Amino acid sequence: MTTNDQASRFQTLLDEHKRILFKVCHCYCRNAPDREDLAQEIVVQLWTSFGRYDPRQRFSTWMYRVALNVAISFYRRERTRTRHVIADEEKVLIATDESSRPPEEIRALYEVIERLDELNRALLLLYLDGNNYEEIAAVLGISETNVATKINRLKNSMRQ
Amino acid sequence: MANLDELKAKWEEHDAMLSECLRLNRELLTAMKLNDAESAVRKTAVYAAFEAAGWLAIVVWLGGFAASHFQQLGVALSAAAADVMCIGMLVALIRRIAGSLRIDYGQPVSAIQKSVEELRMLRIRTTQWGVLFGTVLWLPWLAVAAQAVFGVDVYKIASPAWLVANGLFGVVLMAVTMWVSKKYGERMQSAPWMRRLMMDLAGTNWNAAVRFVEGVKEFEREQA
Repeated sequence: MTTNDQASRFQTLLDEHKRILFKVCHCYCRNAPDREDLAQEIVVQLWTSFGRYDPRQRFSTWMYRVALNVAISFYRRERTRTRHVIADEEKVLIATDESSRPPEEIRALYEVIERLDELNRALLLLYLDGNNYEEIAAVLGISETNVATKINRLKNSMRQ
Repeated sequence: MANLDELKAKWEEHDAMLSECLRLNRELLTAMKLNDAESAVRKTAVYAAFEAAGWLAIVVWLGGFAASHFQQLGVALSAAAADVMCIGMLVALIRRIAGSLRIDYGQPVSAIQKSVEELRMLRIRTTQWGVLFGTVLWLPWLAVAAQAVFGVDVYKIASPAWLVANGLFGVVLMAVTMWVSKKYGERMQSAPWMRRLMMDLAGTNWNAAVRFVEGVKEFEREQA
């Protein structure tokens, strides 16, 4: 496969899964310039790791792993960038209408996610995205029983 | 707070809309990002290779210098001490490069996060030991530089009091560096690289890294 073919295949897969990119960035960054920086870092890492992607594995599982690993590292790192306004043409994801802006309840949920530590954020995001326990366990590298326990704990703490 | 499963249903509704209202900027990816990503990786590899080559050159030069001045015991021992420090820095750098190359971000999150944090801990320890030995070994470095540049053996021309004073200066400099780092590290908001260096020296970043690794291990083993 030529580099162009590979780039084209990569872009197609990324386009199909762009929602993952959007949600991971929203879970780990509060402000828009940081989200854009994170989105670009994730795309760069996805591309540089794409050669190691095994097509027998679901692309979404692999993408969640890369995106969450980059997001957690980004979140823990000291950032040296100065804040600036980013034009649409510099953005990885462009909102075509206002519906991409999360409604009130979803914003409240993002605030709940922000209060969790880095790994529990990933767990909750994967659960909300409809992944089953087996998929969540595969992305995070923990047992399914452990996933179930943690999800129940999160449900209980949110009820309170 | 509402039930998590109710919120999950709302989340799914919003998620379905995202596909429609988000567009991937393919122009940006094609024009810049993908090519840049590859060249950035290459640049990082070249930079690391140059850094390792630099340390190797210093190690070899100091080893040769120590051997060629074996009759001047003070200078030879100074060069040997400096060489040991540089060998340590070179080994740490090679371990970091090898560790970075092994990291595959497509692997499970908990394993990769532990690996990334352990590399960060190695970087912090290298910085701490580098600055610690760099300041404590101030006098040996001075002796090597004076001999190499001016052909002067400081251990022969300087008085014992001067040598002791300079030896102590290195120790005091190290202690002051640690104290300033602890006291002012977190306040250096305007100079992020300096802040990181000072927080490395103060041990703040080390403690945070240890806590994070412990947190990941607990996340992995936690059961009902």
